[in-house]
Amino acid sequence: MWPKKLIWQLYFSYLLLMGVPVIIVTWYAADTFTRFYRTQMVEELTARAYLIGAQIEEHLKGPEIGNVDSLCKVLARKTPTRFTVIAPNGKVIGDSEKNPDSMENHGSRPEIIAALDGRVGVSERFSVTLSEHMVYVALPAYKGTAVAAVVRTSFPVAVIKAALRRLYSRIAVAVAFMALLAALVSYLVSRNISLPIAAMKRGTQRFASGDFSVKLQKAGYQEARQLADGLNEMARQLSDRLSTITEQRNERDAVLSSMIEGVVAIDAEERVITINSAAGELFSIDREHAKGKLIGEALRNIEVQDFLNATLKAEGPAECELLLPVRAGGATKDSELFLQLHGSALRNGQGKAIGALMVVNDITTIKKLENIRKDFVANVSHELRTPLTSIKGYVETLQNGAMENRAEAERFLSIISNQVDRINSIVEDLLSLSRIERDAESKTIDLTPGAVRDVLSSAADTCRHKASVKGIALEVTCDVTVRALMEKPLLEQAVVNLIDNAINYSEEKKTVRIRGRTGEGGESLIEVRDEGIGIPAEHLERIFERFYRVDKARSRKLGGTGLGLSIVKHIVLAHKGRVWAESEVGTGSTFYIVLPAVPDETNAAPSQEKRPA
Amino acid sequence: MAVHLQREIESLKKKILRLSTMVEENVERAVRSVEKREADLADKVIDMDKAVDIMEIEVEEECLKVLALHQPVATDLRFIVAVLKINNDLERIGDLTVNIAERSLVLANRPDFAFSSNFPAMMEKARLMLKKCLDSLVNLDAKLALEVCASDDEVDALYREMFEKVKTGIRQSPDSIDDYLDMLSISRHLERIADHATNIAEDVIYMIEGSIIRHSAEKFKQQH
Repeated sequence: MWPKKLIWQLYFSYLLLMGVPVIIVTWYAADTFTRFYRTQMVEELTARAYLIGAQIEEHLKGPEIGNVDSLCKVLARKTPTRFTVIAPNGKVIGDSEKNPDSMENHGSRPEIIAALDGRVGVSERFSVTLSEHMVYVALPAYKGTAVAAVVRTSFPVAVIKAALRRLYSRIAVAVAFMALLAALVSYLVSRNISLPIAAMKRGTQRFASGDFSVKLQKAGYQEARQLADGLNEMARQLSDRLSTITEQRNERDAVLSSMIEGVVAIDAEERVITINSAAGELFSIDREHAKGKLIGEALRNIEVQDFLNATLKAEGPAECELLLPVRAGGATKDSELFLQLHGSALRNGQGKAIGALMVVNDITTIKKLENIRKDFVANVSHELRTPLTSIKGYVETLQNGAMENRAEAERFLSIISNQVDRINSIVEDLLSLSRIERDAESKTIDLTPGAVRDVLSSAADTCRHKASVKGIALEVTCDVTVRALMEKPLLEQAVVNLIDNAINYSEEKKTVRIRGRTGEGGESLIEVRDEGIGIPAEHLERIFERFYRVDKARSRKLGGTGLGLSIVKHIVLAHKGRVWAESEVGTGSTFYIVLPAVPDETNAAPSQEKRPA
Repeated sequence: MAVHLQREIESLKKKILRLSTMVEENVERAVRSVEKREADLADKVIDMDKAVDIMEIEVEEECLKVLALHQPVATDLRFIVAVLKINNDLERIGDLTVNIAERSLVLANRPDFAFSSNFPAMMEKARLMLKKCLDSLVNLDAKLALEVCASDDEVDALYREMFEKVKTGIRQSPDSIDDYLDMLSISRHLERIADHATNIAEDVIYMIEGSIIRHSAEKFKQQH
């Protein structure tokens, strides 16, 4: 049974309410009419019978029976009523319709029997004589005190029925008209009640679908108007709340998505609640589709999944670090990210855990710095220990008696002296490194414009002796116009270091070319190119780190401290420049230093000369 | 009853997802260890495979338990049947990954050897196929699964090419026959991994569409 529409429910109950009484009343009225009509008929027939009876009694005083019959026929001419007069022995002596002689004995008719008894006989039955249904009323006619005859009046039932039928049809027409009217009225009334409700239904459906722009119209009866008012108010508040919620959500989303840290929240069923854009990028998750999915579907990384699961179960906050391999498609190199995960349980107002929250920090850079620092300490100790061990060894040998052998002792002492020099140079380099760093930080380096050529040639002069020992030629090419902001001694040291390196890693009879030129943007470019052994590509990035060595044994044999390039880098940084190296194994390496352009100096000087006095 | 079944299926889903992630990461690791010649990574692959094996048994037992206790029908039944098969394939991939890792261990101890140029392409393809078929499993994406089925041919072609290259390589320099054979066996394993990924993709399609497209993938594609 489906729910009916209100209008039809009202309409049908109205119809029922009106129809049932009308039908009952009509039926009752018709019944009463019929009874009334019949009683009336019988009474009328009785009255006629009395009237005729009086006349018949007159006739009966004489012996002529034939007169009775003719009287009947005369009287009946005026009315549709049939008159019959029957002798007490049942013989018909007069009839208005037929010849009494041809009629059978009527003594057994029920009304006759009643009349012969002195009562009024009434009956309704089929008349054999006339072959139709008739109503009979019979009365005794007296001669003195004895019953001399029975006077009977009769009327055809068909006539009564026809009359009644006419009556019924008129009632039916009236009832039909009334019913039609009632149907119309009740339809109008129920429509009137249900229309505002239907309008409100449409309105609330609109509200439910989130459209609060159109208000409900106030129409119809008082309750409907009040209801519409109430609903409108509700809609207004609802729309306010919704916009507040949307605003809050937008704010939250904005905060989450502008966070550099990745944020992932899951519920107790391990389904994703939120993933912010940083986390989406880190784990390459499609955020649109991830919402509501199992974390195992969205974030395919076992360690992260395990961490989140553990966080869900754990009471307190959790923390872990993991290595995330990043596959960069195409030419870019695959790399690894160090991630630090912080997790804590999400709790609702009652303090019940309803999920887990994970914040992801990319600590790759921090890790890298940390590693550099660790390496640095380890390297310094190692670098210092090597010469110290050898010094200690030789000193012990001397103590154990080698001092007696003068030649040996001198050799040992010179080795010890060498090692002390080495330690000294390491310490010197470290000190100058930290000095440059400190000066650069506190901005006490005094940069003045100067010619790059002077720096290059004096650096080459410094190294010329060492180069000539290996038979290496130093070529300096540089224009006088190449100028840069510099602190001359520092820049010279940097170039010396580069040339020194180039000499160290070149074989005999090669050339080291030192070039200075002005770049397109006005910056000055210094190049130191050798024809040495070259540097494998994977080391290029790291050679400027402290103590980083491509080949440890070889470097140490050549007397390097492992700090030369690091010093170069720091000097260049102090000059706000850049330094990098290009190399091919076997053919040689080139080191580049770029120093920023000298502001306005080259442009300002000639323009002043041109200006007319 | 239905609620219980749903819960069991949910937990089953979590388990198969976990297993698939484990296998995927392991393949990733194995491929990396070959590329970078890192013995540590290869060791880790071999280590992790034990966890994969345990997980495989767990998933299978869970499937059987659900079948016996709940007598699932229609979609649920298809899901469990598909999971049973995918489970198998994942475990096989896990074993193949271990084989690759073992080769990688051997390679790591040998001097560098210049690999054929389409070797990284093959590794990348196989890895991507596995990733895609697992994505299609996760997202119930029949289209993506079909893509995986299609790219199996590419891997097969790469493998044939590799075979030819190894043959000519051995003829030219019989000294480095060991290296060539290792290369061949690794590419063979990769090809097998791609095959299993295709199987998984087919099972995913079966799970979604309810039709078995094995041996008639072409017909199925035309219908869609």
